Amino acid sequence: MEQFLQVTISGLATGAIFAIAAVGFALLWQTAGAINFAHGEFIMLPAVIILLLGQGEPTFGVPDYVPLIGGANVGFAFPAVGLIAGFALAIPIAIFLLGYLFKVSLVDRLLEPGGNDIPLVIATIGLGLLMREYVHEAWFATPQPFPSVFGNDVWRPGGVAITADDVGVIVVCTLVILSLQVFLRKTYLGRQMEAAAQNAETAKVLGIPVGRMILLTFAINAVLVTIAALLVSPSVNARWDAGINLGLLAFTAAIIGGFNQVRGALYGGFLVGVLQNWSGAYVSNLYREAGPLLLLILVILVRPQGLFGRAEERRI
Amino acid sequence: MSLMPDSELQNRQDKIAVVERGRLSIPLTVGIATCAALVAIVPVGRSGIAGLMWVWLFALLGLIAANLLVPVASRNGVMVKWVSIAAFLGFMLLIPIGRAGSTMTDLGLFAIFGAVVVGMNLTQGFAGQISLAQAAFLGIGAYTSVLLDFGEEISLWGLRVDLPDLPFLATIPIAIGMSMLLSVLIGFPALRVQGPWLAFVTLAFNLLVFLVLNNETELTRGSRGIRVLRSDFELFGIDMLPTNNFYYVGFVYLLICLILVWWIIRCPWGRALKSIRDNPARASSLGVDVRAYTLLAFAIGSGMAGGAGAIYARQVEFIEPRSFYINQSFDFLLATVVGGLGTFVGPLLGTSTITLLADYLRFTGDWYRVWFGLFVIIMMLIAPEGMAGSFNRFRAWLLQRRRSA
Repeated sequence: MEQFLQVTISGLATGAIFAIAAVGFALLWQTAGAINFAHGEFIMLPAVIILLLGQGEPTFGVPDYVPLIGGANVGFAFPAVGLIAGFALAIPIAIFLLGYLFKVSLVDRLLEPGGNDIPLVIATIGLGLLMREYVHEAWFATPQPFPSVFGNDVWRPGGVAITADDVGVIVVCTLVILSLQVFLRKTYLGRQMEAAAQNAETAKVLGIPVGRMILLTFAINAVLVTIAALLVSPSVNARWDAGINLGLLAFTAAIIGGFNQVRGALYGGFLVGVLQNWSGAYVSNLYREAGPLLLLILVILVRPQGLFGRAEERRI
Repeated sequence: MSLMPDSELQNRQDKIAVVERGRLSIPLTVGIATCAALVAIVPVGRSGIAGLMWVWLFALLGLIAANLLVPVASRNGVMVKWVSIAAFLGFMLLIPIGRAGSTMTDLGLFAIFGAVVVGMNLTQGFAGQISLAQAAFLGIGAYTSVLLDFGEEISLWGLRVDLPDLPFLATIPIAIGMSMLLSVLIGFPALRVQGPWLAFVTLAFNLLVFLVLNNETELTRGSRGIRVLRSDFELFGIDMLPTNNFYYVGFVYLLICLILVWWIIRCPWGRALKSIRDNPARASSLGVDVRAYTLLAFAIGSGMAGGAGAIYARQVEFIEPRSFYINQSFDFLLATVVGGLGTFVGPLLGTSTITLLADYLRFTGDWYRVWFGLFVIIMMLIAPEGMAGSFNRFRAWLLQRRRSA
């Protein structure tokens, strides 16, 4: 029982991060129609940037001035301070690189309304390759340890080991997604975004600046992946090839939950995380990833709109 | 009034360039010549290049020029086309003479990966579905074939199992059948609904296959891999141990796949496929069973990869799960697209960029992979129809200019 609780809680923590990543993936798909196969790399890159900016000591052959921008020498002594400084600096960089530049240089040019989406899919696969290999070649090829913002405390209420990291991750992720949900549902700006996502034509007629709403979606996605990077890296480390698995699990979560619902992505993320840990603990640790992937195939077979999604009518 | 309104109209309608019978020779020759040029350039500094090969190379360059200048539909054009095909075959047949082992391994890989990409092109270029499990099917084919040819007793989940010792050629159809069966099993649910579901399902499937290959160590020996020996191995009385001889197995397999695709896209079935890719709604209203046709194209494409896997195992003489991981599938996808979706020579062109060019650029360390990613993005921005498609466009432009002059 204790083991079960422990496995489930740490699964929920991982799942919460997948949920954040999945929400970003689903938002882009819904609003801009962009299927981003580089989504995993979008999480990997901010992790590397946070590490580069936030670490007090230049470790991997990058010029000295780069780490100094962030945590200065405080970074090494108090990891959390350097990390948060690095995170704060990484957000505008991510918004520019992964939000604005990605939209303007790739999505806007490759995605014609009603056209086929294969060129964009290929281009994002190429982008993923580019980001992965660039980090591998230019920065570091070995996994770099990444400290947790929440520290390394472990509590043992009733024999169940709960780490501060797990609790912090679950709380932060749930808060982020709930506030995003409130933003989309309750605020004027959020309603405009929803409208642009659901029916761009009508939204335009009603005077909603659809272009700006789409740009805002990309910015939100960039912030979400940066948060996901900060939270997931303590467990997977900052490494160049982390993106393949992260991306796969993120859109597994999005599809299982139903990608047209923010709530669906949240549940999907939790489900994927817990399932991954359960199959790791009770089937075989070698088949950790197999549980979510089998569920993905099952969901597409039985309920392609996702467990919590709404069926969409087909437009011809 | 232009003389070719039809073809122009078609180019506007279709997102992917359609290669009609008359226009085939051009991309074909360019593909051949580019492959040939790459083939000729790669081994410099390793084994030296025979004088004969240079003659071939210049002859092929001359053929490209002839193809650019002679109208395709004319009698001369038809002749140029057949000469080009003959030149390609001749080149590929003669190239092993006087080559060293490692070059021949690369060439053999080119032929095998060429067949894989030809299969992918069938799924993607002609049926319009993205498959990201081509490496998994290659692996399934490789492991199926090797284990059927093993002839040793192993312990499997506590049981003693005698692995059969089938001849190599007999394992190829089984490898193909295995891949086709699994592809139908995963394609059936994924193709139930319109959308990019097949891409996601195949991606998940590829990871599952990798996990199984990596973890079922009793059967596959996991990450330690299996050493596949080619000694005592004869086909039709020819000793297959030298790489130069074994290269022809892959080459013949590539030819069979090419001929199969050539036949498929010309028979009514292939035309139905193309109609599905161009407009699924119209095709289904005309009574084409969209799902069954797409599934069959996907199965055939995967089967080609499975058979290629059987040959691949003997070519590199070592198989390990890492070779069949997702990034290899991505490479195949990029090769298909870079070469030119839905074209006949596109796969050959694309494969030459991922195998031969990649090998040639090895001196850059792994930086060439960075450049390759950038190249793919730029290619999608300026020429999403790929190399073969771009050549068609260039030639149409040239023809129009000559007419108006």
